Amino acid sequence: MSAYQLQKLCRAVNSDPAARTRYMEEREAFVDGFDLSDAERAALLSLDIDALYDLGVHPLLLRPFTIINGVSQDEYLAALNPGT
Amino acid sequence: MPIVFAAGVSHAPGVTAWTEEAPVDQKETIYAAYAQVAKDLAASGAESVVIFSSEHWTNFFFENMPSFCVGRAEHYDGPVEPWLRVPQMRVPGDPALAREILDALYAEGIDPSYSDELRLDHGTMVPVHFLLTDNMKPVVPVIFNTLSEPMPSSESCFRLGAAIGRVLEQSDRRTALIATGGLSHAPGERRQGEIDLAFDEEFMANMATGNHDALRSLSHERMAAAGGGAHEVRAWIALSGAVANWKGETVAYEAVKPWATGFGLMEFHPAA
Repeated sequence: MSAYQLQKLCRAVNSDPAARTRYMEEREAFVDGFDLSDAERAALLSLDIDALYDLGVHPLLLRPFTIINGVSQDEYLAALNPGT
Repeated sequence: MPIVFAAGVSHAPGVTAWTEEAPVDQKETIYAAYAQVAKDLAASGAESVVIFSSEHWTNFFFENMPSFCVGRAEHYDGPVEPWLRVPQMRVPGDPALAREILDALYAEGIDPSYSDELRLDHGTMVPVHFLLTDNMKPVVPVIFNTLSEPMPSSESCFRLGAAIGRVLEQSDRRTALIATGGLSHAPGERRQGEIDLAFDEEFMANMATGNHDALRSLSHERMAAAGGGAHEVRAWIALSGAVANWKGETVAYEAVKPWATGFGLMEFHPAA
């Protein structure tokens, strides 16, 4: 799986206000509109930042995506560097 | 009239979005440097500004990723990021100059994409904000793919820049050339905050002296090692191709930890 659909979802949320609203209000239905692997779907629904990173979401898509989800800079870096 | 002004500038968004988080002396050094470049650009009498830039998933995505895209719109709106703390503005375009550039490039077998509608993110709007707000000129943005592998090689960027330089030298317009991006930074990466001082020092030195062999052969891997944002120095390499006989002078360089970036500004002048 190329993570294309996963990144497409992140970009839609980042840059399309209508998609962002759907993501915020009907998250599961919105996510199911993309062709995702089980691991990708699970990581999205639990906002597992470390997993999304390892699944291949580009850093410049993932960081804005997490900003929209209310994740601070410190929280973001802590999620990516567990145990530090 | 030929190219009358050339400069390379960083655009990492902390400079406007998180201004106060930087140490005061670093912030003041960078703001003074941007003011100096703006003053010199205005004094050059440039009528239009060609901006070699990069974007951040604003116009292009994996479904269609051009190596280079020349903007030929009547105007551009930006910035797209509400958190950037740069005022929204409509920047005038120069479609005639864009067409002049495109026709000449295609005639010599260099085929960038082009667009009549580009939205501008911080990659272009930070320099526009600092350099053109008080002296607005029509712009031709040239967007480089610095996001998605594979990316154009340093050699390819240099050749594109050299070809655009030849067009501008023969144009009726007095043009300024701005390259924007870099230096070492790794936004959104696990290692965000690391700044590769050795990369920045060597790159700025090569730009200043016009060390074309080093610039044209700068590898993707070396840029990647300096952080994903370091890929943006491809725009500077293109500028080096456009003003191949000019020498650079550093206006400022600061490694700004709170902005997680090496931030550099350099002006170029014809060799005496």
